[in-house]
Amino acid sequence: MVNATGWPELMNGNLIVAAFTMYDDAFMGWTVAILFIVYQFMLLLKTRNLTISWVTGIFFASLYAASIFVKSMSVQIIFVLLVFELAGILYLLIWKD
Amino acid sequence: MKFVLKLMALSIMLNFAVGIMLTAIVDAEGNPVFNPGNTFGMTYEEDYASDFESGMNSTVTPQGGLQNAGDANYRVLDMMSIGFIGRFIASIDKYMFGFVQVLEGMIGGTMIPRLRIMIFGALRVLITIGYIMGAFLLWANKDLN
Repeated sequence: MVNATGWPELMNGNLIVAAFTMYDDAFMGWTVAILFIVYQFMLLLKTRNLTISWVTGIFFASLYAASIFVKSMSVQIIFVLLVFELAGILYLLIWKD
Repeated sequence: MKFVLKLMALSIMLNFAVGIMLTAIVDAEGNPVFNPGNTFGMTYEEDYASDFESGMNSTVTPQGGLQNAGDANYRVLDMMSIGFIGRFIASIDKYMFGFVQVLEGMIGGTMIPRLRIMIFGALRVLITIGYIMGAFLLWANKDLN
């Protein structure tokens, strides 16, 4: 059993940072990567539109990079997913039957 | 056959995609969001086609001697065709197995060396079989699938 973390942030009134600290400790630093993968796959399953997924993924990545929650591992995972999506878009643009 | 050709096209597009993502995605201040150190082993290769420019122009040096001077003509003709095929295959290796190279760059570093050789060697063999089947389809017009 692990004690709940994020109390100092909560006491300072930083609700979002407190929630992020709690979840990020629970997921051992993988929170944003998990959120991003789930959101991308849900969007892809729902819309079947690679371009929408890529563009919104870029928004997500830009906002994330501007935030204080950046972790290098999750940036790498976001990068790989977005690269594969862009490669898929370029492939469909050029080589689609 | 179609699968391996699609894979080759996708690997070329992966290279472009990495380059676009590294340079074109910037934040509000114009700084790149993704820097080259944060790419999970994926790198953009600018001189992707340089092997076709430099490799294909290289000189072929025949080994050994000739029994008589009359063989020299055949020797030259052989070297032209065989040397060309050899250089061409060496040049397109990056295209043929580009996808395996991408995967190896991403996750190969986490494996022990023997496992790395086994897994990516097996992938290369599988893709080579695909190319052989594709060549047979082009030659005999029979799909082996």
